[in-house]
Amino acid sequence: MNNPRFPWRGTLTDGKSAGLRTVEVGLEDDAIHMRDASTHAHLGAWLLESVDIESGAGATILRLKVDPAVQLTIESGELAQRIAARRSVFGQLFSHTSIATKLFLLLLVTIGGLLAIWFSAHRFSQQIAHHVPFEWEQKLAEPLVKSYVDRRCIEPGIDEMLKKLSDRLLAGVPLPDGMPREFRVIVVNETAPNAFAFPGGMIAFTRGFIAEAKSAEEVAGVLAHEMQHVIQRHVMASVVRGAMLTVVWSVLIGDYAGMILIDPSLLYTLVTAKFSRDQEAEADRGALAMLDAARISRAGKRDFFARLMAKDIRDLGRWTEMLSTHPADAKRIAMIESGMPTEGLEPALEPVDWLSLRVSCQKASSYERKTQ
Amino acid sequence: MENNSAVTHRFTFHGRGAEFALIVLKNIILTILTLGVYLFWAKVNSRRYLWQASSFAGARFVYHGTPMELFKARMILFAVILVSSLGVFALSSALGSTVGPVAAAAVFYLVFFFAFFVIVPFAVVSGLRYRFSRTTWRGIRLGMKDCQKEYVLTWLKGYFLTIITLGIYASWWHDATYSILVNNTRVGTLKLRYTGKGADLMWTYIRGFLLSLVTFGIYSAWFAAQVIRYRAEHTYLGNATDGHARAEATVTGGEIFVQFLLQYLLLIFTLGLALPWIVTNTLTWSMERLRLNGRINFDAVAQKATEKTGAFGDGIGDALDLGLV
Repeated sequence: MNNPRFPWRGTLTDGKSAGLRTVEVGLEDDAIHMRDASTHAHLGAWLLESVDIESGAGATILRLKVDPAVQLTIESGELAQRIAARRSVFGQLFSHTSIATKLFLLLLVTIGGLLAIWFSAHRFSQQIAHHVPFEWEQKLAEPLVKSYVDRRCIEPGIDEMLKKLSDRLLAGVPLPDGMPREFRVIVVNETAPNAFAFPGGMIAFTRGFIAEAKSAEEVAGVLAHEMQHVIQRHVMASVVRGAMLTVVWSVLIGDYAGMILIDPSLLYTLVTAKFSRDQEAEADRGALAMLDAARISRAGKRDFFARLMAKDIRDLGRWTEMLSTHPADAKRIAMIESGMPTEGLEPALEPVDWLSLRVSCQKASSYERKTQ
Repeated sequence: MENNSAVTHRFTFHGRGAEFALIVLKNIILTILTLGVYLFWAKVNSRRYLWQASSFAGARFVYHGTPMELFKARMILFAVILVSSLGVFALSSALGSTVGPVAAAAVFYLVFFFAFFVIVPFAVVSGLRYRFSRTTWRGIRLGMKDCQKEYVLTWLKGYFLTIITLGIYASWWHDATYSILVNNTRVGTLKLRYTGKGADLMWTYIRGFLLSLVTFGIYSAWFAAQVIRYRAEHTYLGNATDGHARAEATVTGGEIFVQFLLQYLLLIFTLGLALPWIVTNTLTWSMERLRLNGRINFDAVAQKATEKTGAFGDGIGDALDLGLV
């Protein structure tokens, strides 16, 4: 018959032999009391602070801190719950919660934590990116940049024409320390209309973009926008964010061997991936300032977005705008038109140069392919 | 005469998937928040639960390893890898400039493969030694003698002989390595003993390989069951004074196949979330099919002095993703 002062039954080992002594166990005055199960002789008490307690799988195991070989095992988790409840308010609360509830709460915390990491990765990566020397960014992208430079459009005059345009946009623009006042601009042989900024300051237009562009001012507008991504270190932030999330993911799945911090093949993905909504808005603002300073019409940028809006079925409503990385095109157009200068403007490129750019880089033979 | 085999000692797993999932989730959260530093505490948490949930003859196992042991071992491992990598790199570079790049590359790969083939078996037995030394049952520490050198040499010899004999030597190879592990393991004054012979399993292995090949791996479940049953029935626990018991495994190929298939599908359809349930279910299922038959006076088993062993091998096994718990 169970004594209410000793409600649990357990086995005691001394660590010198495998002999088990069956004992009755009670919890009183912050101590574990034991008595022999057969003779009921009191065997002594262990203060709670003198034991390590392991609980789980329906058992509680108590070991003396001074001699861990001495061990008391109870085939019940109730003792551990009572001890936890004594120790803290949280313990009391937690000890009365079912496993399913604990699991649900922990899952909520995990998902919340992962989301927090995801969103804070954007913020932290931008701050870290500002401290990464620009030479490091250039070094990082060297192999990738070289592979694209080797396959760019090499029609005579194209490099110089694009350099002249980029120099004009850069004139007077404050740049971060260590960033050279020279951006390389190339045309690559891809048909999908696109433009992207590489780490280290190279901008690439696809021949598909050049073919679809209606004016040199459109090219200038997008060029200014991509240059701003580099100047504001958005590109480096993408690399840092990618590395951070890769590390977190590797830790999460336990693949430490697969923890690739800087993987050249990852760079291409990051380069062509979208920037965040905030970064796009920042780049838009910076680009408009560049265009105005260079006295190039904003109309090209406006017309580019208007065409995107008309072509793309998605006219982002309020809900989808929140989820999109791009601010709605209509908003961007409104921002461009707000305070848009209309006087004292000069063409982005001379008409003959614009014609040359449009025509020259549309042939496959215009693209050099160097092999080592 | 008393029938020694009449007494049966069973393994039991008391753990539950939901309970283990809580521990796994907590481990994941804290490991992410600490960018991996908590990993060693996570490992110890998982082991403590799984060990405690396992019992033999009614008494629970207890894990005594500490996170700092694992952490220190991993730091030593990193230092060893760094120094060896630099050394090999320097050697290859020096050779490259003297005897040419091809010779340098050959040296590099030879060193790498040699290191790999020595390190893997070393990590297996070292990891086991560490885990045993940190496990108690009825207050008695398990232990494994220092047999790394013997194991590595046997493993290497068996590996190359198996290749040369086109796989025929495999049963002797596996038998020899299993024998070293078992015969050097004890529970206090009780010793494990393996009496099997590689020759007994030769045809089982040959049939197993060939049929597994033609059935795209399906037969491997039946092959595995035969090997497990043979190994178990040739394994004994005991000593001259306290008695002995013989192991018995009642697993069948069909059960292994169904178990594997169910777990695989569960893992796929839950995107890995069911892993804690799969682990606990596998342990429950395995332990239900393993027992020892024979009378042993466990109360008389005494503690034996344990040999010092660190967590270095455990760290290597982890780094190589050897899949040991």
